[in-house]
Amino acid sequence: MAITEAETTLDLPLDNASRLAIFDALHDSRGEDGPLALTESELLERVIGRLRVLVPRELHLAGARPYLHHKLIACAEAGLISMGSLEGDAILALTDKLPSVRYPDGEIRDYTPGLVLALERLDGDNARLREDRFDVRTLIPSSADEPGGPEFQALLESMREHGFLKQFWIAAQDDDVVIDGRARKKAAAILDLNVEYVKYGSDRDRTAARRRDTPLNRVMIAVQSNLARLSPETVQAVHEAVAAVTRRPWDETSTDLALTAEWRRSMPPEYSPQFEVEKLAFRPDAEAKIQVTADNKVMLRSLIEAGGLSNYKIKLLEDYVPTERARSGHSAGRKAVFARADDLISGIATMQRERRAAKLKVDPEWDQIRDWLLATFHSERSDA
Amino acid sequence: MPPGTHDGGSSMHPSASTQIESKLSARHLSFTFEPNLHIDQIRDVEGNQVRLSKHRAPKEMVERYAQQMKGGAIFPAIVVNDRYEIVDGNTRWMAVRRNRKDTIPAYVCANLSALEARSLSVELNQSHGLSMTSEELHGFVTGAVEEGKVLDAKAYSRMTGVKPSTLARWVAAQQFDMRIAREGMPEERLDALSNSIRAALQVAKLSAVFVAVTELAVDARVPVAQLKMIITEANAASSEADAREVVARARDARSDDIKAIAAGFKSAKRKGIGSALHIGGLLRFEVSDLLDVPRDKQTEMLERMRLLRDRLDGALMRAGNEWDLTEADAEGQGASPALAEVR
Repeated sequence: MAITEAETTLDLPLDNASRLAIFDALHDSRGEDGPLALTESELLERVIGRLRVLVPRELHLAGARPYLHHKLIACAEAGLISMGSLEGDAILALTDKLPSVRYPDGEIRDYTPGLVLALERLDGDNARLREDRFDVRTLIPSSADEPGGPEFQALLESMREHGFLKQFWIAAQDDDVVIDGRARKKAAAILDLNVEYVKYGSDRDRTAARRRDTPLNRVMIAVQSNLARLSPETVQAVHEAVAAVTRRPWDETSTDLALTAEWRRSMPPEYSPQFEVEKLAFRPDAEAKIQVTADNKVMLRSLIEAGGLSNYKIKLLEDYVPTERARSGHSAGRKAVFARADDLISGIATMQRERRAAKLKVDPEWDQIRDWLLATFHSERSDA
Repeated sequence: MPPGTHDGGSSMHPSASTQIESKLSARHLSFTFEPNLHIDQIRDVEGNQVRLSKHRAPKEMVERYAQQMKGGAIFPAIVVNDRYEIVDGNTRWMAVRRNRKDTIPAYVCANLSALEARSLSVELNQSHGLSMTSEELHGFVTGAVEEGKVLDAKAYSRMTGVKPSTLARWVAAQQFDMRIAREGMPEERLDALSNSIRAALQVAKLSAVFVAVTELAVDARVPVAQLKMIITEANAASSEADAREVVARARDARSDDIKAIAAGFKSAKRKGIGSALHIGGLLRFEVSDLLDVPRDKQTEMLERMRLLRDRLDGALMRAGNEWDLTEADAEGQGASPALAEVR
């Protein structure tokens, strides 16, 4: 099986996390004119806590001081630091070169000092907000809070006139929480109108939205999308409420959000395994169209279409057969759905039995498809 | 699709594990199940795993897994982060490589920080395969504390299988070590202090009291129960001066022990420590409680109470004559009506 994406990028050193920790510790030792030089002993004191979290096993096996020394030599060889000597203790300073870091999209970029620690602090903030069940909606006033008020009545009037304008869709989170658009949703319910929710163009977009959906992200959406109508006092109250839960000032959280913005926007590429397949014919006189891997995985669409069924019938197997998605040399666009031949043989039989029991239609082609699977794969086995 | 679920039919994949998925979901991790992650994509970077042993995937275990896989055994998916760096499943990964297979089923977790990866690795290691040693778990917990993380003892207990009280003691002991380092006390002086003592000392609120009571614990080898009482009293004092006075008094009371220990001797074990506890216990009983005795035991009980009374009378008499309580009297500590009566 070949790999199709992201594998060609250069790899970072396996100890990159330690190098970043060393870089951050040296970078943090700043004076008025920038980072100061530190001795190896001073650096050890500053970085050992971080290293114990990052690489306890390596510290345990090598010892703290030898491990750090080894990493410092690696950093010096990579041009990240300069090493001098002072009475037997190395003296260390940063050079102009930045270490590298791999962003979620797979691209390797220059490291922004403090990035990793900022991400971890934000993780901590999100964990506390989650644990506290922080709901930003309770802090953002909505015209829906006063259904008899003039604002909500005006909205009702507008929606009565124009309906739910599809270009102003509502984004619902994975847990069906609507952060922005509560008034329109309520008005639509009163007027019995269909709500237009945001639609994702691809699985990747859906995954990206899910990945971004953190409590802090909801706070930012709620504040930023309503900024024009919110008073500074309301915005400040939201920030203070967040700070009370995260136990650190909003300014610090905000700084970390700014520092990590590029990272958070970066989305990982979709993983696409590629199957090498050969094509088999459904009947001796038919064209070979059914894609099959060497380990007996069958591309469902090619099988079902060759068997004379419409490809949407694949859905009937959803609850009966485990599937895998992959590309092959013959599939374009979205990843194709494959299933193991044995799973298909038993899954089709179960599906047929249950549909018959429920007095639902069972296409006769399923029998032919199952027979083909038995003949192709089970006779192979008995030949072997 | 809610966080942590995966596509349609793949949920029925034999390598999908509800146990792993529930652990990932409980952490609010966004993950996808990939049944065919290419072996060459996976990287074993420093630090993503927590096992301290040199050989994380023991040869014989790799061999056994490889044989089982060849025989058709299905293993649960490994766990990697979104850079395909392995978090859990080293032995399975090695076994697949040994069998020269191209792919392995894997859970790919997004946005996994180093600490999250490590704690996840701890939890998954504890729930399958070779459990981690106490040393490995201790190293993980203390490392997290040193990094400034606030640990939820219950959650970490569930994750590691270590009792919450033990975890709390590890955490407090590590916090003590970090605090004492900030105070500049040399580490070698603290070697004799157990984790329980360190955890007890960490409770001292004021910096000056913390240092003084630590020195007392080192110099007088004060048992943990007594240290807790001293620290509770010092923490309740109305001023720093009063709090320091509490520790100074405790130190004075143990001056003999301190001298003996400094001279290289163990402090003499006083029988009075045991008797004081028993007298404290007896004082919890009212007269009616002491008379609440089954009929068949009353004769024996009466005899023992008489014996006790005689011993206490003797002790009180001698205490009045032999104990020099002038200093305690001056501080208002020893002038109890009972003692006055004996005298």
